[in-house]
Amino acid sequence: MKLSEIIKEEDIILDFKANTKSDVLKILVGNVKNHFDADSLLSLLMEREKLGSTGVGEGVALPHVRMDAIESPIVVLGRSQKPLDFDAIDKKPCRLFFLVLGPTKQEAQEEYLQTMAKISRLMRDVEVRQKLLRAKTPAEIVARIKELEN
Amino acid sequence: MEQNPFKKILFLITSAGEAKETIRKVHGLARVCHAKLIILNVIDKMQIQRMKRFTNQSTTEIEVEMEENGWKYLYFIEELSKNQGIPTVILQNIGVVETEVLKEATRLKADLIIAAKQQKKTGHIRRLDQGYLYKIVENTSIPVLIIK
Repeated sequence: MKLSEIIKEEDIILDFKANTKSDVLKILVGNVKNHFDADSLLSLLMEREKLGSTGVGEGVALPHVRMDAIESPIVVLGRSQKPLDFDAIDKKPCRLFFLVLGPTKQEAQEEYLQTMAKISRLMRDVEVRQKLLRAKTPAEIVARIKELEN
Repeated sequence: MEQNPFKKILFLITSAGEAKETIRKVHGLARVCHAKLIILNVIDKMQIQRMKRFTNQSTTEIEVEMEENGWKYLYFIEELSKNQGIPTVILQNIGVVETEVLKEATRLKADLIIAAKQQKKTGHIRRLDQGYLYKIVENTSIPVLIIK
């Protein structure tokens, strides 16, 4: 399983404007091209955030949730124009946001966990983060991820 | 008597995978105390070197595999916790187990550290396991609960 095959250019939003965690989630959810009820998805994500921020540190957050209506993992990558407080564990503001939606069915759990594990591992690397922060287009982001995976 | 002595519990997980019973007990305690759970996995540098001796993989390949497996396990336990309504954050560090546990427990102001003692380990691995548990207990003023 490769991240570069899951994260598509149309699922990348660069330099969006937001002020709060709720704004960020609304923008990411708004980009999910599917038949989900955006409001339900948003409230599900907010509920999960209340139980612990998905800001994993070093300016990266990974809001995630599993839903019945999903067959295989969906990732929306957002980069905010300015760093935002996301209640991250290291208290650092975030600029890179990976919304990960996964299926609830048990047999697909592995792929969902693998997706988040790959994102979390890649984002530990400062050079990788810098490349994603500097990229000028979604195509460049996908190319960078592909390059790193190879 | 203090009603809620533990507000932040740091739970150290290991790559060996904690028994369901251990996770159940940790969740039970967190619920009773209305505590926030900080789940920490430490990728042991020494373990990477040990593994290198027994495989054809490079250090980087072993690290990548251990990191991804660690994150998968963390997200798995995080979901179990959040499904029970337990406030949870996850954390993965690379380093020396006892050093990382003590550093994060202090930084995040944990008031209880929980670690599981692996019963099935033998020989060298068992001695190392007991080594870091001993060092954690010896070097912190935070209460430590070891689940057997």
